[in-house]
Amino acid sequence: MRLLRYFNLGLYIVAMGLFLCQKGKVQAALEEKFDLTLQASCLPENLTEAPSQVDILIQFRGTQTNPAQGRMIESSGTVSYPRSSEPTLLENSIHLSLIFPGFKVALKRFCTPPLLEGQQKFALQGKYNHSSPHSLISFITPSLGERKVEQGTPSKFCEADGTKKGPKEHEVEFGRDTLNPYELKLIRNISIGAPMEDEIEIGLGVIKIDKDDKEVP
Amino acid sequence: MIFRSFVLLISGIFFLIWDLAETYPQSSQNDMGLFAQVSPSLSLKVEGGVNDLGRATIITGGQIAFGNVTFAEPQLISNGDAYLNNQFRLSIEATLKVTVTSGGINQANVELTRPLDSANPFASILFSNGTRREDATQSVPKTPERVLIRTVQNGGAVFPLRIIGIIEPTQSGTFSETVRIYASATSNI
Repeated sequence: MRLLRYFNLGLYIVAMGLFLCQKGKVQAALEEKFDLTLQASCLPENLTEAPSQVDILIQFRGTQTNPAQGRMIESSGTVSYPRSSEPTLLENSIHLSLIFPGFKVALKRFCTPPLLEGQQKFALQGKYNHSSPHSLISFITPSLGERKVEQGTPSKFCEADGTKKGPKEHEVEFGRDTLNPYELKLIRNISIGAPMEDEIEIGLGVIKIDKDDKEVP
Repeated sequence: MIFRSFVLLISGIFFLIWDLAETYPQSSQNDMGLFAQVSPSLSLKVEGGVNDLGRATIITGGQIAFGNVTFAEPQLISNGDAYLNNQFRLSIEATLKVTVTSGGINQANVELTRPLDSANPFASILFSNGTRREDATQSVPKTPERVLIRTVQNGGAVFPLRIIGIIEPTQSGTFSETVRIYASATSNI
């Protein structure tokens, strides 16, 4: 009788073993994979011709209520300022790496290596149509990635008191031999009650220079 | 007791025959016989596809060689699609056709991962289930993480898959990176 009981147990173990093996085999087989390797080469380019003119239109629009209500939102070149109820300083960074895709540029005055004869320098020309007499928009220190540069004097488009309001042209020169993207930071000082719509047009041109850093026509 | 032994013996023989039938399904001449059933199966096939702009992707031996691409004229890429995206990064896209065929399972998950570290990887690898540049994308995580891209019901499915390699303006050189596509059954019928 005892022998028969062991025989039963043995049969049961064999049956369960077969069942589990079968299940395990099915589970293990049901995974497929496919490896796909992506390869591409992208080498630094030499810019031998002037890039096509790039115009960036940045519009500032907003209404002053509570500054705690929101943050700046940037979309498609339009910068929306938060609502604020008191004079406040708002700023927004606009990355201009689109201007020199594959190149990194910086404000010329911050470039350490001088440009050589025949090299090109780039000019960023801004035209500011100013409708608010109580606003100030200025270029401030560009942040060049991890590379810190010394503080430059802000180039004011317009004085805070509005005495120089109206269309005004401003030019900032770029060198091509720095390694980090240029970040243009615009700061707008908003006063209560001021109309809040301004436009800044930024265009890009390429200027060839000679050894004396004079522009070659 | 003798009866119980007999039942267990019969059960053991049943499992043995079932196992043999599963192991050697082709040896059975009668697929409609007592032990014939749908064997759980799953296969994955990846082919080149065409996006909505007519840009075709060609896969050769599991590789997509995009060739040279430039920021200035990305449209001159020799394989797949390339363009500057809104963040002024270079997007290099492969449009694929994924075919999953399955039988005897409830459903299968199709997943993506980046299994290998490359000497010069792309800044990021994205994917989408559409064929348009505007389609929303998600990032492909590094192994061991996987991202689910599609759940396929029993029988299989054919769907487009877009794999996008991103190159930053600060990057250059020859980029190479592998993306692994998994299809795995979640349960058997």
